Amino acid sequence: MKTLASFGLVAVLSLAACGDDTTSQGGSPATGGGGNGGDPPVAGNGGDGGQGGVEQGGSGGGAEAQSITIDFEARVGAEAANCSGSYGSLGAEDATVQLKDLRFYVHDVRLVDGEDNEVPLALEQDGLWQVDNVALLDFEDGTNGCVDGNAELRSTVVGQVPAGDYVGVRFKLGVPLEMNHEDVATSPSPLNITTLFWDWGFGHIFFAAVTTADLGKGSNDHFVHLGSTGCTGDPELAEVVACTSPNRPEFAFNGFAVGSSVIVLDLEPLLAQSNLESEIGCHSFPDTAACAAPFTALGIDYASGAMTPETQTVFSIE
Amino acid sequence: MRLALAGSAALALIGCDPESISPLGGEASGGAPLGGAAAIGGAGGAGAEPEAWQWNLPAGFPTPKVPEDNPMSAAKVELGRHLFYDKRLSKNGTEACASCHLQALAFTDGLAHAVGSTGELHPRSSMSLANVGYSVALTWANPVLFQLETQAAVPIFGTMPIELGMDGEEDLLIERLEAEPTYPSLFAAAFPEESQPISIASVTRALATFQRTLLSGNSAFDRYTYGGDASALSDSAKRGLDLFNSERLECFHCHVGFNFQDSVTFEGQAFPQLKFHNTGLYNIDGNGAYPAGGEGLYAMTGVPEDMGRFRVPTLRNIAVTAPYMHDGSAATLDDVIDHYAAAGRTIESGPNAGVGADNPFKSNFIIGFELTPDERADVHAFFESLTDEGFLTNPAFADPWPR
Repeated sequence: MKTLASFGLVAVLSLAACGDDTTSQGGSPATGGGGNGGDPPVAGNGGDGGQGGVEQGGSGGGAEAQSITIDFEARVGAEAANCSGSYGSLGAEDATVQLKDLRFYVHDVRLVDGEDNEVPLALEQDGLWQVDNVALLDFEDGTNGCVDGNAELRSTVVGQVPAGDYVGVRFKLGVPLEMNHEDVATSPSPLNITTLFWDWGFGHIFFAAVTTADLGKGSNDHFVHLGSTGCTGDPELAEVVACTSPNRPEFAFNGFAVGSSVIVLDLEPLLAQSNLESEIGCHSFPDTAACAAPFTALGIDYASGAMTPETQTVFSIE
Repeated sequence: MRLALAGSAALALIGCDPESISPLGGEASGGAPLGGAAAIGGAGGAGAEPEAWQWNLPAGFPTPKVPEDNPMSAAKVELGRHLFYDKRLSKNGTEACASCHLQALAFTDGLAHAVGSTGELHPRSSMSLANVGYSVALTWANPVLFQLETQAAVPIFGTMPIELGMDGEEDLLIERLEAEPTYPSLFAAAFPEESQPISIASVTRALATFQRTLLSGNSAFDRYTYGGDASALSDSAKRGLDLFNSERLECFHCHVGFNFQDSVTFEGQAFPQLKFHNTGLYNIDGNGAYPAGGEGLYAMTGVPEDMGRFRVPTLRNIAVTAPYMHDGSAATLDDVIDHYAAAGRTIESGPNAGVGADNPFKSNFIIGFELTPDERADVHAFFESLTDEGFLTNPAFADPWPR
């Protein structure tokens, strides 16, 4: 149960951190002080993978749960990013491109109150888009060039937090280590999507932004596929234990208003320095020059794998 | 215990997937006899009580490790064999696993580079599957791919390169399998505990189970070494064996043990090791570089010293698995011997030109040697003695589909 236990531990720790942060035990009506009576208000509702949710419920005690929907929008500059659009003057070659894929995983979504306390969003366990603390966002509908995808779209992350006033949102891109290197054939949705899994690298593609440029004679597909690299396994445990470049950038936004703010993903800065007509782009491999600029835009130093949140230009809130 | 989690995840998956709710249809409940197929495994067909698995291991072979959530069964082996030879597993219906893993060639394909179902050339040469169940990790240079179950997803769903081309086509694959009359009863017998036996997880598990039965251990070398038959090896092959195991040639350091392979794992072995080696096959820039796309472990780790490091392949059936090396760049066993005799290969001209012997990341066991013509013939005789004709022709490993 190593994986499960370690994940459960993560959930407990984050809960404890949450409890520690809200040291005003009793001061706030939100902290019930341990009364376990009744249904935990923020308990996971799927009966599956709900460790985080159950713990959350315990901590919430009598706190009233607040259902939260966080909206995401995908754009190319001012235009909505989708499979039917055509986007001009993009990248270093002023290419005109269409989308082939635009999907990404987020995890560890937290809301932040006015005193900088983080509260984990207990994700709805819907059996499709969200599992444990991971959610998939999907902006391709399988039409036109988006041949790797399907009709379904997803632009929200849905969950519950204890009632409160929240002014910030934080999340990480990708799939946590504990869940990233499991058998894709036996993983729960949305971690069983074969087109978002590097079979050879045995881990998920965290972020997929693929464009195709019509060159008149033929076309050029350009990939930004982000995922953990430099991973090594433990032959005794027969499982992945660490990656030198985890590539899970974290995004933090203040001024977030529940219900009205939108998290915007913009492909224009992501691809600003990419050669969309002449290069295949970045699969997060070592020694790929085309990785440096999109990694920087996502808040990662490609050479070292270090997180550089100050350089990220892809996500914003409105 | 990772496997226990995977098992529970599988149940959750089945419960959540709306596609999997659809019933199998009438054919599943009929219990139609499979004909001769089920008899091959030796343990009853569908409906019978599951019998304890009997390995029937070659002499001198340890017991392979099997994941807790995918125990061996004759029914699963039989299903896996059908899947292994089934071109429905490729999107365009042109290839099966067996297209690149031919039994007569010890489950290699005779090509320098495998060719995927869409015609894409694989950067690697197909590896032999003989005794693959003992591998610590799978494929040529992957430090994170430990289980045959997860490896099976690589050729089926992988896109770099495209092999069977089924990425994103899970529903299509399930539909095809459900439509083949042979399958419902095979899947039901192999996975009797599953409410929906036909699933992607069942496919990869059955393929893994079949591959664990691909045991090759009845060559002349085995009869000599483990079978007590002193006459099984010719005098020349015996001299070749001695050369192989000599500090002059140093072959045995990496090609060690019952599978001539340093990274093996099996029941009772508590501390499996995973090793990769650079043998000085290339040295393009004088700093150790291997050709693009063939960098080996480095492509996975990004660690400079991992350039050109690959896993040690078994030498069993080596005489029938040409061409050699990860990229098939050694056409014959003589080329291989020349490579090691020179302490690394020198390529005089062209894009890959360089002195492999000077590769800074080369294994310290690649020290070079000289062989007389007679000694070279002896080494050849030893290699020939590793061919297991029974393995290459065993009907239990052959294509089960009627032609």
